[in-house]
Amino acid sequence: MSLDQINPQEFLELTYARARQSVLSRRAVLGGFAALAAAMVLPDRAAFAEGRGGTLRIGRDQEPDSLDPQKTLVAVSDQTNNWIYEPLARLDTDGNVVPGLAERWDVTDNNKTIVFHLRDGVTFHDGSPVDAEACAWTTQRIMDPATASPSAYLLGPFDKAEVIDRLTVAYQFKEPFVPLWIGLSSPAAAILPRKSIEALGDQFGRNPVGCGPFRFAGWAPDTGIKLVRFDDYKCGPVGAPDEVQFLYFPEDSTRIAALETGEIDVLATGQAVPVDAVRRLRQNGEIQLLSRARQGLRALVFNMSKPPFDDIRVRQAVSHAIDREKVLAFALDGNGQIAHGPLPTTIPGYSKAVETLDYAYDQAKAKALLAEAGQQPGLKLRMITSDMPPVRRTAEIVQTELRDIGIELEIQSLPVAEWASLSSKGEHHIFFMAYEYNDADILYAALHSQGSYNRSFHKDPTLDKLLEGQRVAFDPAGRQALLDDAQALIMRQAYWAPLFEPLNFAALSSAVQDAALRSDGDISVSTAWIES
Amino acid sequence: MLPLIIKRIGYALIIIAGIAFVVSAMTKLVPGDPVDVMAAGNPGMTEADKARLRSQLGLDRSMMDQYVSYLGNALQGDLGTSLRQRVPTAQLILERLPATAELTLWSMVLALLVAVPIGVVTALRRDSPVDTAGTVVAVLGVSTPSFLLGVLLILLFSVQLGWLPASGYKGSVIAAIPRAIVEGRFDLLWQKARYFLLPSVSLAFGLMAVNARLIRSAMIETIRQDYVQFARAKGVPPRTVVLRHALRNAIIPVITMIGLQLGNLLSGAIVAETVFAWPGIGRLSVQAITTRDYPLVQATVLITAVLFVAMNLIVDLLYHVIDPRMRHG
Repeated sequence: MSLDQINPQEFLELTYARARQSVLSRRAVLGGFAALAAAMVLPDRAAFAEGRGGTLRIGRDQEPDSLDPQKTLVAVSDQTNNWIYEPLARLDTDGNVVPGLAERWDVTDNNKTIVFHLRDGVTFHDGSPVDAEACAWTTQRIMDPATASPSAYLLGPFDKAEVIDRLTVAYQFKEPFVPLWIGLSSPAAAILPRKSIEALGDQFGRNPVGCGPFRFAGWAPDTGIKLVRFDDYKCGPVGAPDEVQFLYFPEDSTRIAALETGEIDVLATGQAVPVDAVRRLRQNGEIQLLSRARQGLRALVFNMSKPPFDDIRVRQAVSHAIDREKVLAFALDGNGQIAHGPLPTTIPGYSKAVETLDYAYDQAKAKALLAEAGQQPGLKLRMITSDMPPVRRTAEIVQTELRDIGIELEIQSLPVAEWASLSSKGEHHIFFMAYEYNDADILYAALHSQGSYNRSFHKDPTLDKLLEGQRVAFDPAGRQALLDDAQALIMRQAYWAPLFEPLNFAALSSAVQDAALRSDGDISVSTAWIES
Repeated sequence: MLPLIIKRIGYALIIIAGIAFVVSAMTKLVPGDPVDVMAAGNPGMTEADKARLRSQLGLDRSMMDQYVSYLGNALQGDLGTSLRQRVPTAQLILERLPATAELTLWSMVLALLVAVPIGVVTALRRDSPVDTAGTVVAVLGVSTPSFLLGVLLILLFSVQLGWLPASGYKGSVIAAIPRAIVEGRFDLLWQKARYFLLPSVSLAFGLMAVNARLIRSAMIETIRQDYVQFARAKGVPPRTVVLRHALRNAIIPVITMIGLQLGNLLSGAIVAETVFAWPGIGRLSVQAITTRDYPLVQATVLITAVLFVAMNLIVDLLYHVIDPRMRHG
């Protein structure tokens, strides 16, 4: 039976299950990191804190490019837009699809159309009404080639939106689309005010107007981005702080000094809390440190389109040669978890069986395998990595480990543009994989022979078949079986050598109350407040 | 002097057009384009998605086609729209130029206030303990990287002592001066000036050292000259000999150097801007290059080239003011 023939309720259940997978559940977090549980008590949206108020000053290591949600694909822009804009539905901290602008929805037309019923009486920050007309106009804008939206791809096979009545709008897709909520709950699909956009033109991205919990109040290079609570917010509880300021500090030591001297109250998102500062911040009694597992993985990817990694023995040798405990201790100061497979434990679909297929640290075995493969000591190999400090440190430890088994590894540490472009040419021997993703489908992007992020350049028809199968398998147990097989195959063939799963951190002054770390690495800006 | 200025401006325009061409060619030759960078953190984006975006952003047009339309627009004063920030690049530059220009100004003022006396005194007291001390300071200044000094200053004055803010820019000091004088609001002036102190000291230290050494050697050269000896013999007070006769001549090579240093600083003190979270041109250009934001790279390079050439033009004209011989050269 295909997706367009199952009953709408069943289809909706499938889309909800996929959405839940995109958010790291609280249980998965606690299971993996029991010791950190105390720091991760996540308040519910409804169970709101008693206190509120204050200006929350948040220091970040990156600055948004544009706050026009249809014109950006940068995480830090989304993390700002989350508070300014309102999508039709949101994902709560456990990944449940909860109403946003739409109070309910139904599925029709063989699961290809979602009909949204909007809340009545909602207005944009500019005072104009949020209605079906606004939804239709917003979707036209994101699909318009003139918008050149980098985030439009999140809507998958979206076709068009049709106004049914003032508060009812139908989103039509060309085919049933299971990961639908991931795009629809992101700021990229938030509903926009036509009036302000037409008035502001290309300045809209600098003067955003939405209908989310905070109203935009200013953005200047010297003062950062300022948001003020929107007291007329209708789609959930009104935000707790009076004001939020996002300030940009590119240099780690300055950013940390700013928190320590009380110039800012929070460090969050991206690498705002660098892993090598965690120990220092944890020792500071004035600072609360939050951490949460990340849906990401660091691994070595072997280029199999050329020698020596076309030989499984060489891949196994390198896998055996690396002491991941050492990597974790030296590169991350212990802040992470050893990885055993191509998926981290935090992405649903992780196969526990890979732990039995692990390549244990054994340099003697590694040397024997290399000799068996006919490789002489002094083998010269080249690895491409990005220039992020923890990645560079990890690469250097890998280099030392490989020297012990007679491999001379040259590290090419590149800025993001070169890294992206050169790695796709396949001239390297090893690619340092660092991904963040919310679904097991990352295996398709990174390991299918047609995958856009495939840096091992291999063609394995069996694996391709498994990865294609998990894309269309809509019963969860069936999909898990295919994912289990795929992960076992990847490890048996040693296509990748997994290294570790990183963590997200946020640091807060002790005056900040009721802040929780979200799975995207941001703190829950709308629940946190500060004693003034 | 007018024909000279016109001639110099003519040369400058040719240089700037050349720079514009080289830069637009170079940005297209390095690996990676803006869409590669956007897709880097988004493995869900397929090759087809990337191709669609490239064509919508006009990146699939030929290099020559892109250059010609860029030049045409630039001539009409349109420096293009940033591919990432989606606003006119001129707007981005204008927002950041004042912060960079004022930091440049105060750093240079601070550097010269210290460098000129040190240079003159060490030249007059050659080989004395004062000279040795000056040399030590100069070597320290030249060899201390500004980022290291910046971080040390932050640790001492912000984190340990809590006297000055660790970073940031809270508006122009120059703009606050009139109000301070007219209304006596020196507190407001200080509110802004305190943000300038650490970054300008960290930049000025190196400049001070280089310029002090330059002034010293130029002064040593000049005070040996016959006319200085003659002035002394004639009984001109030593103060006048040093300031009027010797320093005025010694300062000429230093002005050339200062011109270059100003040009350099105006193109953005990238390291200091990063350490002190200073919203200047330097960080903007680095961001543009990292994200392969072609129009923004071209615009920042064009503007800094114009500033650099302008500084050199001013220096050339200053020669003519300081050294009457050049007026007829």
